[in-house]
Amino acid sequence: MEYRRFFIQLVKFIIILIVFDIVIGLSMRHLFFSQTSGKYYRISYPLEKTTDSLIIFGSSRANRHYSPSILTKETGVSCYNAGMQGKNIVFTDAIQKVILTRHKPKMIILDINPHELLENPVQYDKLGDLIPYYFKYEELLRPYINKKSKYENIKLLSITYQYNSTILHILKYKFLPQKDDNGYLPVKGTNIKIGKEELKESKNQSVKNIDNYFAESLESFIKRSKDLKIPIILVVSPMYKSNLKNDDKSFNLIKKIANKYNVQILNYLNSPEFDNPELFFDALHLNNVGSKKFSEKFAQDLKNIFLIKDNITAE
Amino acid sequence: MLFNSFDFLLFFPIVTFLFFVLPHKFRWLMLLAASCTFYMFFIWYYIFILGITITIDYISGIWIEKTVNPRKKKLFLTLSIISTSLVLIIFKYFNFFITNVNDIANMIGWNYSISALQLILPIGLSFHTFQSLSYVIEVYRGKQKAEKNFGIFSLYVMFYPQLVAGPIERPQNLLHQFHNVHKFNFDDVSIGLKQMLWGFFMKLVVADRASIYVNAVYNNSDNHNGSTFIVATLFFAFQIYCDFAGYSNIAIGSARVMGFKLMQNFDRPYMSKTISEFWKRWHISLSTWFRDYLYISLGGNRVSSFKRYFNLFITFVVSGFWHGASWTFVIWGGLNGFYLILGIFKNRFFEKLNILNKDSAFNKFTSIVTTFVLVCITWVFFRANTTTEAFDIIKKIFSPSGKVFLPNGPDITAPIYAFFAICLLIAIEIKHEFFDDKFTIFNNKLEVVRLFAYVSLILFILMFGVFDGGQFIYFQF
Repeated sequence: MEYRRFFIQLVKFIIILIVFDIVIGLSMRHLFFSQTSGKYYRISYPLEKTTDSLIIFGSSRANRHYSPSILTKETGVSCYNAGMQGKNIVFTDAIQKVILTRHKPKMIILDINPHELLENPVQYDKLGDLIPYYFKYEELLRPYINKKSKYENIKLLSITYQYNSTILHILKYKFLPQKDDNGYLPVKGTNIKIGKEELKESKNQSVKNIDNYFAESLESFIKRSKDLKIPIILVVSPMYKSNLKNDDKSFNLIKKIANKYNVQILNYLNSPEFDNPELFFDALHLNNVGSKKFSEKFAQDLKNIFLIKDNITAE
Repeated sequence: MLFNSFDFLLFFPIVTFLFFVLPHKFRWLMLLAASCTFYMFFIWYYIFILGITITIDYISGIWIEKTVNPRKKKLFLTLSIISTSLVLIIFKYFNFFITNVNDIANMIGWNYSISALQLILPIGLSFHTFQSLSYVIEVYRGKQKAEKNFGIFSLYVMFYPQLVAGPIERPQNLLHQFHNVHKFNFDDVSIGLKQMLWGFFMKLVVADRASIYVNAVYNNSDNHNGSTFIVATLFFAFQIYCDFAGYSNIAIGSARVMGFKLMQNFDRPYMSKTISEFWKRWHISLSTWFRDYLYISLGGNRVSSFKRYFNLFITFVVSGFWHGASWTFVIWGGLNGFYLILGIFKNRFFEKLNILNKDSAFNKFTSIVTTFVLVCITWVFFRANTTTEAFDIIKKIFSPSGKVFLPNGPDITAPIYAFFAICLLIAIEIKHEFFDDKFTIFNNKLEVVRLFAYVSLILFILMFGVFDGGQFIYFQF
């Protein structure tokens, strides 16, 4: 009798739960994909809409350093900045994989941090930002989602869970839209504390090991572009007084992978033109003044080395 | 195994199902096997350490009961306490003592150094050690019969819901329940599942949300100002409460589903009007353990006023030390002891003057706020990484300056979610504290309202919970 009562209640409860999950989840999905600015829109747009010829990939350093309007003006090639704040090569590899199923750009720029391949477990948690897109690109995104947690597929049975922690972003950018220049989001001012941040940064990195999955992701990113015959270039954009060692394990591996696929690396890491704290927001990121200067410099180099060499014509 | 892991969501229904389908005589064996599995998810070979503690206290219990000679009884009790505590001392406190001895030697110029042990603390060691000790003490006091079945005694120490973070049970409450026949009871299952759900809300939505901001601030204490530490400490107060009370709710709820009734561990502690009341509502199983086995053993209230204050202070210092082998915890305990003594003086003073209307709403409100603020000050010591850091933070808090730190860009949502989750929790706690029979949703007479309320709570957790979050803070104790 007690069992029967329990199972009847349980069935009722599960039915209501499923119905509510579908209703709330689908409403959240509608709200999510109706965004027109903000963090998630800057993921959705390149995944689903961009048709630009030059796509810049990378982390916040890519996002903050490359102005598409300057690059387009200087090279005549349309450009989108798909750099994602706080993300590394694993996330970048995932979005490139999805984009290339729909659109074949004329060239790809990957801004890479010399320490990109060092262990950083938080990066696996950050793959959670791909979850809202899982229902659309299930096959493509599954390997990355599985890296987040082994039971992620089960959690994704709930539609509501797919939009976990997104509502504040949605509301924020609905009422306070964020302007960007084709994905590019510069930062103003400077927080440089001379001699402090760069030392702290290098201390932390020296004890870390290589994460093999990060290295595999970089290789897969490059290989995918090569397989589709899309010219690709790796760029190390400026840092403030980086004390990168010659034997840096991460950067050496990056160079090794790039060599394997015959990919050029443009290294601006300690470029003397950028040895000025006024150009940096912090040790890792140029500010709006620095990124403008860098975009102009990079556009010129791109024209001289890359566009001419690979015979890519301006639009 | 973590309660907030998917492994547990598979483990729990399987164990519960097996419990009800198996005949009574096999249930304890299945629960013991399940508890061993649960524990071995952390570091499997530490189960042998637990085995040693269980064996010592099992044999001690039987010997103490059998022995008629009071001196021999006391000897067996002492041997049991020493040997059980030795495990705790080696794993938890040895390195603390060594570090301090080395520091003192260096200070006085001795070239003397002992190497620290490279040991990982067995999970929940302090909890199951105390639970095991309470059995031996109760047998010695003649309030509990020695358990003859080694398996059932092992289960008493290892029962998976409360194995790694309590509640620290007493044998009188738990041991006999393993002998009782538990029939499937709809009300127990329903109450248990609801309590578990509330525990998940506390852990995933409040504690793990708040921890993002708290960690960002407390792990970079040099870079933050007093205003930021005020906010981070308030967040930590709710983080630690929801982390631990959340765990306790899941533990009590998962035991209740099988018909086991564990003791209440939290009773809306931040609604306390005095520090003394706070300790009757916070980690009740530990507070009563220290009261019953340490404070009363020291003489309790039946001694001179001075001795009583001393006993109170010592009890709280030891309680702090129980939490961790660090001076921050000792200060945390001492500060609570000091508050309690101060509270006794305050009560005497106001009783003499007879000027306070204790029942006025204003007095209740100010008392709750004052108690909460005092508790928050102690949390600084609990959370800070070192004593120096803790005192620096206290200094900063009492000289607030500058803007409150908010993370840049998209990360700004973490403290906002935490803020709303805390507000929701406070609203629910106020409702239960002051208007328990009003605005009932979760206990509404209408079944449909109850069903929708619990479905909404699950969806709320799915929408706002932090999944794959950290361990429960109290596991480290």
